[in-house]
This record gives sequence, structure tokens and C-alpha cells, in this order.
Amino acid sequence: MSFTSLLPAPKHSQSVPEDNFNAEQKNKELAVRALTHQKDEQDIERSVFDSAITNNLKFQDFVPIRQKDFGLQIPLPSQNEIDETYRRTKGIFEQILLKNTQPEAATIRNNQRALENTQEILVHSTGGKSNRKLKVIEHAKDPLQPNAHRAKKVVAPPVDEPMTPIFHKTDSVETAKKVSKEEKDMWKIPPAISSWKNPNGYTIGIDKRLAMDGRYNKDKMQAHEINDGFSQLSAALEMADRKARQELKLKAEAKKQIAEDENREKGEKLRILAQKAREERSRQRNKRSHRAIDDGYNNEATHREAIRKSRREELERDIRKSKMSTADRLRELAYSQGREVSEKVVLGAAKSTNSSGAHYDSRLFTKGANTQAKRGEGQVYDNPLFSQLGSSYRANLNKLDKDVEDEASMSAGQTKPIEFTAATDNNDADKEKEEHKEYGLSKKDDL
Amino acid sequence: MDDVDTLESINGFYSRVRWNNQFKQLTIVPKHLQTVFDGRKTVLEKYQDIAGRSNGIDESKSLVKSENDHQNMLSQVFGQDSASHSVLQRQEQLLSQRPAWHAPWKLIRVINGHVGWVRCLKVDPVDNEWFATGSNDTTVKIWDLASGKLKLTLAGHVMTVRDVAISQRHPYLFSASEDKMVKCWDLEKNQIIRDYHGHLSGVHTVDIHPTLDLIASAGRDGVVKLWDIRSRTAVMTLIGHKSPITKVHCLPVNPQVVSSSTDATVRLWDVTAGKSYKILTHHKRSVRDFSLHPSEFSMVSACTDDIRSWKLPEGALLTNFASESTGIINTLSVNQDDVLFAGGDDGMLSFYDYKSGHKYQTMATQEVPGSLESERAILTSAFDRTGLRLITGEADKSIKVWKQIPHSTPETHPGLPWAPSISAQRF
Repeated sequence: MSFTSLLPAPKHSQSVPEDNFNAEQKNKELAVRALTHQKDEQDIERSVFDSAITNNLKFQDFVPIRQKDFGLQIPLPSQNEIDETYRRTKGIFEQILLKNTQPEAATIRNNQRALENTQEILVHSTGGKSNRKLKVIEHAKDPLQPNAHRAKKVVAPPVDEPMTPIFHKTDSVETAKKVSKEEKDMWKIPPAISSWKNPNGYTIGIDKRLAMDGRYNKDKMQAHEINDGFSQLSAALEMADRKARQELKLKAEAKKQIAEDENREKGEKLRILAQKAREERSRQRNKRSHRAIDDGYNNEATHREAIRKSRREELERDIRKSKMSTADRLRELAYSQGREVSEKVVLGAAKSTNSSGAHYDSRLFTKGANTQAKRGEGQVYDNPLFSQLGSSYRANLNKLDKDVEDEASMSAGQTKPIEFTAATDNNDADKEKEEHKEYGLSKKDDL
Repeated sequence: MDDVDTLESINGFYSRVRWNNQFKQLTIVPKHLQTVFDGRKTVLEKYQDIAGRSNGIDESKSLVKSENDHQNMLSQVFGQDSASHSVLQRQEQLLSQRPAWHAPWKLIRVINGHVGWVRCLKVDPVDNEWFATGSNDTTVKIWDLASGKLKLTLAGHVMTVRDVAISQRHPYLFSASEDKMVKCWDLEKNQIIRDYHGHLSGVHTVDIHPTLDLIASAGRDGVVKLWDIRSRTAVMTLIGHKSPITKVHCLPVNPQVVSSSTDATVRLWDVTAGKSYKILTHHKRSVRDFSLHPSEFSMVSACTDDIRSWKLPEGALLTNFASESTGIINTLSVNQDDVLFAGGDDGMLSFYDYKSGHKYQTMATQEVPGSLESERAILTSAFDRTGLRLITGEADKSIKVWKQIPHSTPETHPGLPWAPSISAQRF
């Protein structure tokens, strides 16, 4: 009997009598087989496939039991059942655990087995009559030695379980459905869009991407419209950016203004202080000179004494001068000329600015924006050989340096270090001078 | 020549008469033999027989076809239990019964706190006071059930926590993670006290044996491992699934371990023999979740567009739920009042009557403001111990609590109409 004979006749076939004849024939075959064959023989005759399916597959498996009666009761397992299962399973798992967790016992057993395995073999030597005993002992193994055969991939061992029939419709019916060209194209991801095919992440313009996209460059399909939200977004971003910049500028200006004011105030205060100090000094000097005039002439001894003292002082000053450092000497010089010199100027450090952010490496400016950044695998050198000559985008270094300097000084809030303050600069100094003239005694050297 | 012809014709006639005399009775099969033959015929052959016979009758005698013919043929072809074979009759059976009414559900609380998807959720099995959630943000958080306040955060995993299991007999909480680890937390000290290391890939699910000191865990490597809680050794490995395992559950009696997998099967394991004694292959797509009925020895499993319940321990089909076009189902939960909840990957909640398979309510989850449309999935769900509150964990990082609408009656809230379709029978 073939499988095709089990199929119904073709729909529009005219051979009804033949069909009937076939059926009759089959009936006869069946009858003959029923009469002649034994039952077990027939079972053997059935193919393996047939038996596996027909024995396991029953129509009842597809019919939900509860459909007949919603009130079907399925009681939970009883405590007895639970206890019984517990006892049974616990025994089994305890055995397994014992086997797993007690390697000592296992090794002892192994040793015993090894002892049992040591055999004594009598070897009959060929020449003489003496028999020799041979003992076979298992080679001692290092238990910590790694396995010689390294299992690279852990594969689950095959399970021998009876074939299970599949109780659901397979997908073959659905997959047989023809996929149209359009549908296929919809699934095609062009390399410009795919993140797998564009691993370097080169940015590609959206218009180019669309041009490459198989879905949109078809004539029958309308050109893909770019949402004007994009342009709106970019416009809005630009606006926001401009606004933020303006605000920042204003803020910086205001800050600068405040800093300037503060600076001026401080300078004023300092000036007043210096003025006061100078006045004080001149007053004292005047007092001293008056005193000298008062009692200088009538006391020779004291005059001599004074001369001696001044000489001694001069000597001391000379000694001190010879010991002084250049910086001190410079200061001294400036002082003797009636000038005040700040420490920094003396040390030659006045030019430096105290802004920390302005330490630019001038080499940075020889490079255009990212021109030398390593782009890809193919590029061997990270910067070109003739960067100085070749680049037409070279920065104007002088201008940049000046800008940086300006910015730095601005941020420092100090326009310039105070270098020298000539005593004759201002009106007070003039007055003083007049005073000096009046008395006609003051020496510039004394100042 | 003529003589020879006549002789031959006479001979032929004679032999025909002789054959008729001797073998005529053998052309008709005796009745007792006929029944034996009929028993061996397949359904198709029987149908051909009967169709042929009735055709002959139609052509010759009766012009009117009786309605009874159809019934007759059914019973003749399929035998006595034709009622269960006939789709129409089964449909009639189904329509003659009414599903139980259940009050519809509504959202009562949204809890935020996780910074990743809420992947798993379990309610405290002892006194129903708190619940634990595991999340994509690698933490396990414990929340007060009544107030929804965060009680505790357990951090120790380095990847998504895929499942938690709370023990009824120990102060322990077990968590399974994609970092291949199962960890045991002591809830008295709030510390990790044990690690179960041995899975070859991420662990998707863990469960505690209700009577033995064992836990079962399974994951992407497709095996169920049974661990001894104290000694941390894998006592048994159940091999058989061909794809990642989505859920494993332990029962006190056979089947002591049930597991579902993305190979579209549910396996009922006999742990004493170490192999599965029943494989449920009715599902067509990967089975993402199954759930056990709390007061009846049956379970329900779901794949895309298909929810079925099974009688345990033999694993016989109990109910086909009316679940066409529900989409991917991520989670199932059943409560004592025979309400089945199915949470979809597209954020649809559907509620079924467990006994009849009737879908009585379906709704979309309430989105958390600021969440994307792609974050609608309901990833996990659980009823509390009383079955009165449903807690769902979702892809929008929130935990939602649902409750039945109070004072609702069948008149005020009739729910979806009871109209089982024939296609829903699936056979």
C-alpha cells in the first residue's frame, strides 16, 4: 500500500468508476491481509515513521478537556503525595550530593580499587627454572595537574528521548508565501544607513543617504520629503546659540567694568596712603633739620660728633652696599634717585601675567583644526612632513599671541604692573619740592 | 475452427459456473470479518467508502437529501465519540456554557524608583507585606506593598537581574542575573551569602523547591541546573531544551520542575530520572512565561497569540484561551479567583476567565510621562497573596499596582462579550 493511494482522488477527475474499483481492490487487499497475516507481522510492516506518529498522536490531544465542562475540578496534590515525593526525591539527591561533595571517600575507594588492581604476574623466565614475580602498580598521578585534553567547547551530551510529536502547525505554510520585490526592498538596509556596514561611522549627508536608499529612489515612489522640523530645529538652535553668545558677551563686559572700577578704587587708596606716608616723612625730616639748625652752631662737639657719625654711617653703608645683591643695589639706586621700585620690576618678573589659563603652546597654532588628526588605518604618519610650508591656513601667530596676551591681562583685572612712581609726578610732590626750595636745605640724595 | 470456438466457449462457461458454485459466497465478506476490516480502515478510507455508497444512492433513488445524512456520516466515519471530533458540536457545547464574571481592573498606583527596566517581581510569600523587584539597573529593590515605599536596595550583580525568588522556609532571597550568577541574599543581614557559579551564559530564571533544599536555575545555555542551597554545588543538570530557557518553576510533586523555552516547548521534568517525561509542543512560538494556578493543579503557558492551560501532572490540554491577535505575551499571572492576567510586549493588559478562556477585559497600560513609545512593554507581573492586587513591572522603569474596581456588578461592568469563535478552538 502506498501513501498516494490514501490521498483523495483529484477534484475534477472523471474516473469515478475507477475510484470505486480502487476502493474495491483495496477492500480485497485488506480482506486478504486480514485473513492471511498475523497481527504482529503487520506491526512490523508498518514503517517506523508511521508507528512513532500514530502511537503518540491522538486527536484527543488537541481537544481541550475543559471545553465540555467549565466546572471541571482539578484538586491540588494531597499532603500525602507531597510527603511521599519528598522522601523519594530527597533520598536520590542525598546520594548524588554525597557522591559529589565527598571526594576523599571517592579517592579512598579509588585507592582500594587500585590496590585490588595490582596484580601479581608470574613470569616464567625462558632460560632457567626460577620464576619471577611482576607487580603491576598504577602510576601515581598529580591530582593538581591540569587535564591533558582540554575541552574547548562545552557541548551538552545528546539526550536519548523518544520522539515527540509536534502538536502545532509548522510555519511552512506561512513561509511558502511569496515575498514581493517591494517587501524585499523594504528590508534592504543600504550601507550608508547600516551601522554594521559603516563601522567607521563616516557621516554621510542625509540627501546622499536618501539617494542611496533603495526605497526612495524609485520612480514610482515619491521622493522622500525631509521633515521641515529639521530646518526649524537647526534655525532654533542657531538662534539660541546666538542669544547665548550675546549674553555671554554682555556678562563679560559687565565683569570687566566692575573689575576696572575696583582696580581704580584700589589704586586711589594706595595713592592716598603713599601720599600720607610721604607727607609724614617730609614732616619728620623738616623737624630734624630745624633741630639741627637750632643747636648745631653753638655746640662744636656735637657737630663733630655728628660728622663722625655720618662718616661712620657712610662707611657702614658702603660695606652694606658691597654685600648687597644686585637686586638690592638696584633698589637702592632707584631709591636714591627718588623713585619707588616694586620688587617685581627689580627681579625682572614684571612682564609675566598671573593668569594661568593662557599658557598656550605655540606649536598648537601651527596646526589647523584637526588637520593632523589620524583619520584612518591607511594613514601612517600622524602629521604631514611639510606642515609649515604647505598649509595655507596658517594662523597669524603674532596676532594670536597679542590677542591671548590682551585677554589674559584683561582677565587679570590689572592693566599694568606699577613700575615706577616718580616722586615728582603729582602735585603733592611739587608742593614738597616747593617746601624744599623754601628751606633750601634738603638734598635730593637724602630722599 | 468453429468446433474449436464452441468448445472453448463451452469450456469457459463451464469454468465460470464452477467458479460461481465454489467461490461465490467468498465475494461477500461475512459480517464479523467486515467489522474487523472496518476497524483497520483510516478515517479517509471510511469517508471514501461512505461517500461512494451515498453517491450511488443519490444517483439512483432519492432526489431529496436528508439533513440526517451529515450526522450519520460523521458518526460512521469517526465512530461513537463523534461529538468531540466535530468542530461544530464542540462549538455548541462551548456556547451552551457561560463564563464566570469578574470585576474589571484599574490602575491605582505607579511606583518609580528603578533606573532600568523592571525585569522581575515577586511578592513576599510569608506575610504579604513587601515585594521584591529586579531590574536592568542591576539592583534588587524591596518595596512596601501597602504604601509603595522603597524599603531596601540590594546591589551586587553586575548585569541585569532577570529573576528573583523569595524562600518561604528560609530568610533568603535568590537572584539570577545575566552575569551568569545566581546569588543568595540573607534578608536578615541584607548581604550576599552565597554564589552559585556554573552557568555558561546569562541566567534567566531561578526558583526554590518548595520542600527540598534545592534551587533550580536556567538561562541562555539551555539547561536547568538544580543546586544544593547549602553546599552550592550543582546537583543535577537537566538537558533537553534546544534554546534559551525563559522560566523554570518547582513543584512539590511530579512534575517537580517545569521549564519553558524559546524553542516553543514546555517540559515537565521527572527529576528522579533526570529527564523530561512530557513535552508540550502545542505552542508555535517561543514560550516566554507560564504560571501555576494557586488553588488548582494546573498551569497556563503563553506564546505569541496563544495562551493554553494544562492539567497537571500529565500535561493534558485544558483550555484554549481566546487570545488571537494579543501579540507577544511577556508575562502571565493567575489568582485564586480564576483571573488570568497576560501582559503584552506592546503594553496591553488582558484579563481572562481561567476556566472558560474568555477574555473579559483588555486595556493599554498608562504611560509614565516622559517615557518613549517603545517603552510600553509589560515585562513582569504578580498577584499579591490575596489575589486582590496586581503588580506589574514595565519597560518604562515603573512598577504599577492594579486593583479591581470596587462595587462593580455584572450589570454595570459587563466586560467583553462572550463570543467564542471557531477559529479560537485551533482544531
